[in-house]
Amino acid sequence: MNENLFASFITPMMFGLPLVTLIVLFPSLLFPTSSRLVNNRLISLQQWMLQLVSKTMMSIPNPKGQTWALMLMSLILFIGSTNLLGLLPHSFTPTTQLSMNLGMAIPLWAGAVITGFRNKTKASLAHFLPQGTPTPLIPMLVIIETISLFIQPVALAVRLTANITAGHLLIHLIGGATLALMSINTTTALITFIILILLTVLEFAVAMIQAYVFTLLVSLYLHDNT
Amino acid sequence: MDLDHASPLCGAGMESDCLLVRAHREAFALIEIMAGPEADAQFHFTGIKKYFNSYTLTGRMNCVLATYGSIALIVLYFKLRSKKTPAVKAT
Repeated sequence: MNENLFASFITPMMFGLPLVTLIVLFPSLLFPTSSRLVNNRLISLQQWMLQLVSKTMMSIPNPKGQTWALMLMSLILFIGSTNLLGLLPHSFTPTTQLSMNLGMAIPLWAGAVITGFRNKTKASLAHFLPQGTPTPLIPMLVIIETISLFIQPVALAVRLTANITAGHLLIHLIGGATLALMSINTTTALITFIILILLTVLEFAVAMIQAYVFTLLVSLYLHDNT
Repeated sequence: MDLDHASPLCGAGMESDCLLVRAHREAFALIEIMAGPEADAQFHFTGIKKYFNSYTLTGRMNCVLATYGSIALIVLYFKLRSKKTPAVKAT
């Protein structure tokens, strides 16, 4: 069991060809587009869910920020569907790869920050100094705020990676423990199995919450800069 | 301000959506509290504090630029100083 603990995080290959591209593109097949006015149940449900999410997230930013609505809705759908698909047994989750999450976080964060510096240069620079800071603390606080700005994309990516990876590892460990305990003590195995069920339910919630948090933080950075 | 019906996106039978929207508004309202150009008029500084303070937008921007400028000068000073120092020759 120990040597297979991290096997699920290795990028899958088939005949020497990486399958990551197919895996990353697969969730888009689950969201079909339709040219009909009245759609089937699946598409109606997806459209209702998308409307609910966009109402919640995009009603706050100003009109300039709302131009990012398509990008942010695609982001939350992609991360949410990828995370949920990763909960299937023996599947590979692209969002456990830090490279993938950095590839999402850095361009979005940089886009928001550059937009802010282009459109509101004064306000963007003034952001580095909180209002009301005592004079002796100004240089230190400017440096701290600069560091916290550059840490934002790293934190975004690492948060998603760590949450999903940790959840998958826990499921793997507790599942292995349940199997091992079955031959030793059935009662303990049953308790461990109940814990596994609860953990799986938690992981479903974490998968959706992490998608929401990622997108919410990107929209927050955008709101700061528009 | 009646937050429940302020947004055109809140409609009949969508009270739960409005609660979510309200929670978001409160989260984003903290950003709105920060000073903008219209709030700068309430501050009347004189002398150097007019340009370097932590209350007005201009003052904060100038403090930030001054801090970055100082750091750049310090880095430049140490870089040029290390170039001037002659290498130790072996005897």
